[in-house]
Amino acid sequence: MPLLELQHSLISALFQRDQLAEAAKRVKAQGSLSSEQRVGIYRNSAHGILLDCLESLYPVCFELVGTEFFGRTAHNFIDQAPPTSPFLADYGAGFVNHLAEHPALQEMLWIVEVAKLEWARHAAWHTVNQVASDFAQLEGLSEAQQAELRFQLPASAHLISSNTSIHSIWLAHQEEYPEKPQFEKIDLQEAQQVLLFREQRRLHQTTLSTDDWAFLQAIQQQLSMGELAEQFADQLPWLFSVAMQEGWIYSFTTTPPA
Amino acid sequence: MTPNPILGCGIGLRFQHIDQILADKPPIPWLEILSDNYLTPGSVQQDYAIEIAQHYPVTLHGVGMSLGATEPFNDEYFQRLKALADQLHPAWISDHLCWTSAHGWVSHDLLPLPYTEETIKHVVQRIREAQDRLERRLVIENVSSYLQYQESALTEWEFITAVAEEADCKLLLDVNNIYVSAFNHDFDPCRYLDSIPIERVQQFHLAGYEDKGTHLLDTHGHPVSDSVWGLYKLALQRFGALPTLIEWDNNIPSLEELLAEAHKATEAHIHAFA
Amino acid sequence: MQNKQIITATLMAIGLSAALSVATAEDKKVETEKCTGIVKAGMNDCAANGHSCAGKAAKDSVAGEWITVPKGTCEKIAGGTVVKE
Ligand SMILES: [Fe+2]
Repeated sequence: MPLLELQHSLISALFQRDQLAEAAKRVKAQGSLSSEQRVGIYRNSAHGILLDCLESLYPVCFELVGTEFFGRTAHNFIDQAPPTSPFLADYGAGFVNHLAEHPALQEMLWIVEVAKLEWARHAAWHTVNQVASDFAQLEGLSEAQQAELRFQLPASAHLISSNTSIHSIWLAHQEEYPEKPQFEKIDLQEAQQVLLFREQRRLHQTTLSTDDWAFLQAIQQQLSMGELAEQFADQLPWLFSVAMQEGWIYSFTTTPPA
Repeated sequence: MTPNPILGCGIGLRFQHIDQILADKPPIPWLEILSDNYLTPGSVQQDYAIEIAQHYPVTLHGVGMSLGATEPFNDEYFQRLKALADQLHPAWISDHLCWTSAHGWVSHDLLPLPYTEETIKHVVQRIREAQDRLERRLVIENVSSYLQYQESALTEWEFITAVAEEADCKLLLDVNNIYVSAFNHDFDPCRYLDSIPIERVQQFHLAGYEDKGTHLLDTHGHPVSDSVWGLYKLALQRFGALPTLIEWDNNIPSLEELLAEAHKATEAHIHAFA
Repeated sequence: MQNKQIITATLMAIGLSAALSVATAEDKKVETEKCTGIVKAGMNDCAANGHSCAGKAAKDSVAGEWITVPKGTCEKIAGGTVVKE
């Protein structure tokens, strides 16, 4: 079918520079613009739309590496991995790996860590809402049922452990944050454990203490109440108190996972 | 639930303005919601859209159906769009007379079709299928374009008229797009307007273009140009005071500025018949 | 403490915190927003909206030419250590 061939040719030109001349053969030259220039307008536009999208997904990385570097890297990424989904929210996950492989960033892999955080933020915004458990229902369980209790973080939660101070770097680039740390004073080598989750229309991002981190990891691994008591002993009530009040624990189940 | 009537001049809803709109509930005749940004089921984005639809009449406007493509429709896209529409009860759903996917790739940019009899047959069948899937009549928008294919044998207005008549769909005339394409392809925009069947047109779009010297680029980043206001007046005289919407996507201004632009369109409604 | 006692104490703590967080939900909203400074960053219309783009830096890069050190905020630092001014 001629339409299929035509569309194949044109979309190839959008994402492959060397296909531009071929696609231009099917386009009229008019006025002061050649047919190649006309296809080029579309290549620029498609790239520009996706570049805008990547900029909005990775705003801190954008500031860190600057317009020029970000633009070039993004354009190469766009050509290497054109979108395949009609849902634009799915686009751009692979950009993290693309940065990780970039020769110029091998000495600055902490930028890639920031990119991971930024993608997790985007993913958290696009996670489906869920219904919180009614914790009053915990009363009246038998001892055996109590030991088999398991808890869940919000579905949007991401636990990110980084060898870089990703949370501080991120905060330092938030214009409206009143007490933002000065970027120049951040110790990039400081490891940070970050929890990220969405609560209704808010996204929470916070660093965790080592204890809280270990506890939330155990929760995420679906350890039972009995196993949690074993692991955290008399610290457990306190760990739960903090986690509950911060909204880190969202629901529970009384039956073991399948 | 019957959708609220869409009357007068509204604006396209943008995330930047949502909190302000929900807090202040300013008088806005209606809002156009960009369906593609609200397609994650049960997401916070959908929560916002639902709340907006509780307070304002809305329409759904999308870019992702890829009506002119040759690959099969994306089932999930239509399912999600239908589910969104079932929640928001938009007065209508619109998308563009173009294609955005081929070869497994998605352009996320509106690409023009070759204007031939063969394309008409193909697109008509696709629009009918999309209408069946969404269980409603669609409103189809003309795109702005920067190229014409060697094989195009018809004018854009002949093409769009034939498609609308045969698919029995409605039309969203983007007056700015007509102006941009008329400049880029050196045709008379008034002739375009004069050949569109009056009863097919449901809605107008207005937006600002950018003059690149060699061509006009439809960036939605500026106020509506004077020449487009002029063309809009002619459109009102021919098609009547149909619902009109201001699109603004780059350098998005304050809500007040955007509403002022919509107000200009309201004034044009009054003056067009004076 | 025995596991059994720990579990009992934990369930009490959970019950109490659940009740508390309902009571303080409103205060917490204000507070967390101040603490995190995070409202809607990362949530935007992206670009799926039917406009064309001028393609800011759509220069096609020559292989190798673009492998240079970034010139953003990173200029202030080198190789992961902060440059003292
Ligand atoms: Fe439009």
